[in-house]
Amino acid sequence: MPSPSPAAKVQMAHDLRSTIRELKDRGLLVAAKWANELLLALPKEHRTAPYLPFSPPQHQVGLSTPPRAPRPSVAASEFMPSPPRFDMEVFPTNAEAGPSRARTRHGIELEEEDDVLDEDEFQLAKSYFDIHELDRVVHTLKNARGSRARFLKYYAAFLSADRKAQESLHHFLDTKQERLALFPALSTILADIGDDTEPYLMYLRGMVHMRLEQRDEAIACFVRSIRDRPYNWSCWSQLAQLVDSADKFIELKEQLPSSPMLTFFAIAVMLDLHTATDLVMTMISELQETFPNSVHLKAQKALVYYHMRDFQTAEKEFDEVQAADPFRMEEVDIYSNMLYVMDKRAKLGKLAHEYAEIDRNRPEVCCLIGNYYSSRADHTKAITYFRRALMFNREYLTAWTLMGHEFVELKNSHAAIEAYRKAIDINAKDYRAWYGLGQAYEILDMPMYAIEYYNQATSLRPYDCRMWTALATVYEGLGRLSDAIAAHTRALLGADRQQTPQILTKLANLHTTLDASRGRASAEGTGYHRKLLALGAKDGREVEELAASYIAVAEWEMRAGSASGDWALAATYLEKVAQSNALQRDKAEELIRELRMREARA
Amino acid sequence: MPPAAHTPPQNMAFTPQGAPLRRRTAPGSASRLSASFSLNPADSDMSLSDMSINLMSPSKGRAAFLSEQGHMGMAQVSPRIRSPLTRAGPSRPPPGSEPRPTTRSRSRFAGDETTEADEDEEDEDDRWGMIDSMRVWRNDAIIHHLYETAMFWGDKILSWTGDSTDAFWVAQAYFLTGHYLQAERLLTDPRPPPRQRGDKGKAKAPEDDDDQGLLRRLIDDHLACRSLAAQCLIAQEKYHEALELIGESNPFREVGATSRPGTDGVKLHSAMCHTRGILHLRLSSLERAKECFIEALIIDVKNYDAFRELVEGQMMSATEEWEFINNLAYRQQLANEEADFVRFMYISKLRKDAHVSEIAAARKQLVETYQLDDNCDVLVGLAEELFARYKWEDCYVVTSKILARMPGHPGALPLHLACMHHIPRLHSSLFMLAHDLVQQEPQAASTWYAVGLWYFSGKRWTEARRFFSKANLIDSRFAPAWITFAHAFAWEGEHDQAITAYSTAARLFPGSHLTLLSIGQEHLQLSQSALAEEYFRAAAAIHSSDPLLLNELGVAAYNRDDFSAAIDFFERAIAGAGEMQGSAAEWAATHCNLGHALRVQRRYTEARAAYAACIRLDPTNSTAYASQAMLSQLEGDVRTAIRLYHSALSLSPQDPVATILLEMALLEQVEAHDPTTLPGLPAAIARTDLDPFSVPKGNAAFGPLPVEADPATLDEAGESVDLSLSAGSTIGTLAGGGASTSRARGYSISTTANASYRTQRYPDTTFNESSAMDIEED
Repeated sequence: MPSPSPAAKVQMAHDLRSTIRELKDRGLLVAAKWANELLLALPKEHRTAPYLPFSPPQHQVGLSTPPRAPRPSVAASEFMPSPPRFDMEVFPTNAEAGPSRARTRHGIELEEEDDVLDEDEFQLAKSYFDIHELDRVVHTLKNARGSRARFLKYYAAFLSADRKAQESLHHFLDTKQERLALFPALSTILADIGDDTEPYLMYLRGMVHMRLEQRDEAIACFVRSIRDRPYNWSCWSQLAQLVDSADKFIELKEQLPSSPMLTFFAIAVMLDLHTATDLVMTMISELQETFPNSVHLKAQKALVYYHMRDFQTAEKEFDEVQAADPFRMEEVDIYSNMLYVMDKRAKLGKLAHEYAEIDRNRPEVCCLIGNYYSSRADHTKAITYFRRALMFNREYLTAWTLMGHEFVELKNSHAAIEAYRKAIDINAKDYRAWYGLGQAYEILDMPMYAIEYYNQATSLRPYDCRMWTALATVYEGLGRLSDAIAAHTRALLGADRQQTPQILTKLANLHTTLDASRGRASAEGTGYHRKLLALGAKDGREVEELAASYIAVAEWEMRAGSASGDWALAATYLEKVAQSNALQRDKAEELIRELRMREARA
Repeated sequence: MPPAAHTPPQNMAFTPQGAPLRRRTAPGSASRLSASFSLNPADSDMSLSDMSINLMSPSKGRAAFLSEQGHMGMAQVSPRIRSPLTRAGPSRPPPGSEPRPTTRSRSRFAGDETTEADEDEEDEDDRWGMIDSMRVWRNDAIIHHLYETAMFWGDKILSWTGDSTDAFWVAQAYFLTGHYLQAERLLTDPRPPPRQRGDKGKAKAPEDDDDQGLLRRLIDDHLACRSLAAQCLIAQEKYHEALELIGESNPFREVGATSRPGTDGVKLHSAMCHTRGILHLRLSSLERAKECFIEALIIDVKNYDAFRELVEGQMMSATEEWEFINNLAYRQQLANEEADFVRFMYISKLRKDAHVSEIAAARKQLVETYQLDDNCDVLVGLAEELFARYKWEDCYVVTSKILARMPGHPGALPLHLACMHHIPRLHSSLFMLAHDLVQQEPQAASTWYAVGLWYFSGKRWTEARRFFSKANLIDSRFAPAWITFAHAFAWEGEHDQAITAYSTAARLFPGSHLTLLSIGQEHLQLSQSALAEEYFRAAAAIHSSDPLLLNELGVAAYNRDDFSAAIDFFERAIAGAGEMQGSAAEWAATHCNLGHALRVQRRYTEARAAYAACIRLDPTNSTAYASQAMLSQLEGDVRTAIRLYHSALSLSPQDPVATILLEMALLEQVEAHDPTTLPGLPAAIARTDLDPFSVPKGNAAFGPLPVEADPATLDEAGESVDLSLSAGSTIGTLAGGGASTSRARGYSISTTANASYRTQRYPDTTFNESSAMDIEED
């Protein structure tokens, strides 16, 4: 995608500014923050350049606004200055022709008549909202008619219902209670909003649908909202959560306007689907040309490296992010995950202390601290912090999964299962939670469940060695060797240099056992032994490690008879083993004797 | 109409039309009084109240017919004709000639009175003047609640006259002040002849003295006295005696129905039937009580007390009720407009579970034609309808409005309380209201019902039951407390006790199908399906279109494996629920039940739709999820089944059925599938004959696959196969050293070949092999 023209960037800055104001008015603070960061990421010359709406930008970025639905005519319009909405509806393409029209088009300078009418009530309600007196907001705005005020009212009702539902829980893992407490309230809100197509109300509807687990409706709402207000990042990220497969993403891509925001979205989705590749990297680089100052993009880059398991580079990137914006807390949880995996405890500790200093009440920071305690094997304390993170954000996937891990460490499989299930409820794409579930059930000796969950994990990560290996182990435990072989075979696809020989050994052994049970020698087993030898030779391994394979191949060649069997090779291999310190030395020598005898006979 | 037409031939004791003998002898007002007593002195209550209205607003046009009536009643009872006070309004006729100008409106008495008028004139003398004015004092005192005054002067009058009317009024005053025994004594004791002052003895009927001797009881002569005496006995809880006094059944049955529209107040016969009904109720003979009330209402459609006992006391089944109330003789007894009005009023108060639209139409009439849109009783009708549709919030708004206007409205309060129970956020208000009620009206049943309901809302069953039974002790006909009392047992899981309690309620309120339904439900809980069904059938005989009942019938049918009948019942239940226009979410379980029945009948598509409907209405219904899963499993879609079982179990983790089914499904999946047949796997990796060394890796949708491991590893391992084969075939018996070198060479060639292959496929991919190598996952 080519970088947008300067005029388009000026336009973008303008649109961002107006969206930010709308978002702030509606209490969508996270989205406002994000949009503001994006605005500042634009080069200064574009931001300060005068915005000349009557010279239409060559490249209309992401604002292909469909004609608005006619507003409900109200009594107010008779004495309030009416915006030139007729022109807009009839000639939507000419909307930029005059300054006033362009303004109305983006709906800020000229608020809706209803919004102007209940401005005072709205401002009061907004004050209540800002100090979290949510029910009071609803009460103050109960007769509000402007879309802005109505949004605030329903949004406050939504937040209030959510908070009450959570407070009503006796145990924080109780899904049923939560639903019972939440669903009726949400259904009421949904019914109250009705069929309003105002973009922000659409977004809110989408959120409610999402909480009610009505995914398709939610997606439809988000898409409509995005088409009207592309700079509402919260909407994009919620939509990203709903994308559960590559196919879904492609389908959505068709419906969405092409814009830098779509690229941002695509990056988020791909990271979420664990399909981070260099393609994503390219996308980020392109965006960085438009938004050179964006710390968000830098952090995304670090995430991509992390997902590509290039931990060193990722760490470097994360450090740069921290240097660029030392008080940024967004991705610090993932950074801490990575440090945990890299076993860099000292650095994790330093980071934990630094960020705890900044703000302990951020879920990301709680997560970081939890990871820190976990790295010190203080699992109970770690769980406390993950719970704390979840108190701030109940939909916080990472914390649920990590808490599950901690419960596993504490041998509390049931709690672990609950936590993993929560994570899956939030985002069924989280392969780690599926994998964790599988592990927990394996510990509980319920192999059927374990297979099911490992299966889910493998379908999410078809090339991940660990999932397949785990699955194969369960099949092995059940005595279903051919399935175990199939699983191991697939594990091979994603295995690294350490894992490959192990898997090859397993495969060889499995084939041998399987064929032995059928009373025959194993050709496949020998094949895998050969592969092991080839790999071992390449890596320069010691004979001792490969002794078993040497003997297996030699036995195979000997068994085949002098005509087809490669006795010379067998002899070579056996000699190797016999000369080494391997455990199988005696057996090798015995085989050599046998080989000599057979050679002599033949 | 000639008096003879409705005058029974003889009888002093129970003369509906009054004793002609006495009338002839009694002078002036006294005669008219006795006439009115014997005809319909139960008017006294009515006319008193009417009178007070009349006094306060003597010339209000709106109260014209009221004043007319009150005037009439009062004129009959009070001796005011003699008094100079003509408070009853300008239309009031001059004293002495009073009855005559009103003969048109009271044609019934006209005959009597005109015949007696002459006698009145004859017996007039000045002493009458004094007694008459004292009578006025007495009656005014009663109106003004100065009962002691009334008793004091009335007693004096009685001593002089010994007249039955005067005795009646004194007894009335006693009754009103709660001196029941005294009133009873006065009415039932044989009275000595009055101390005659001068020729006052003439006031007493000479025939009485002659024929019956001196000792005669008032109740033997006067129906009104008899009625009052019965009331006194009831107040003293001497029910058997009261019944003895008033008779087990109506002795005037054959003449009771004769009357003409628009002429009189409430008939004494009707009132006595009502009293009789109350007595039967107290003595627990409900059938006879019901008959009495029905009779009371037939005699006089205006008798709301009887209506209330019948309808609110749920003595008739819904259909019976509907038929009866609709076919009352409104037209025969009342003028057209009145007849319509009374009929609408009654219909609007009927039970709301059938004929909803007709009832709503009646209410509309009342609101539109009669401007009663703000009347509490009409609003109660609306509230009841909303309640029957499970619209608690709306009902609560209406009842709040009623209670704000009229605190403790008996119709609205129980509804109000029930709504508060159903809306969780109002539980604290319920507590407050119960508190206030206890302070304000500790003697009302509804007060203790409210207290019990508060405990009920908090699931504190024992306390709840204690207060419900307290409410029932106060008023044994207070239906809500009986039912909730039983509910408290049912909710606690004490099914046997619940059945007993429901049975009691069923006996007390034979018209209520709800009690029978609940008994059936309890039997169902105890797995006594056949017994339960009998109760459901009994309930259906009362009210066959109740969706709840249809649902239960469906369950019973399902239990005896009659699935098509069950489907029929469930469908009817859902249709009925739809007609009610209430909140649809209440019927989620019925949809689920329908789904079960359809599933057993192998009508999977319909079953699926039913389950989907259930989930739409109630997203927390785990059974519906589990059943959908079963359907999927039956249809062979094990994966969907497993997903749905998980949804079900996430809602109710302990569900044993879903757990077992899930395990079955998992087992089936493990049997049927191997790891390669997963959905979502790339086609390449899902191939059963997968050769890991020749898989072109990557997902077309996202470009190349995420590379976490060194892809060359595989290639290297893969190459070795060919290599070793080639080594085996070509090199033959070469020494090991030579073989290894050639292998190394072969390796390097093949890697580059493979690398170029990769670069062709994914031109923009660069692999970072070294970094990937170092990573160790925990």
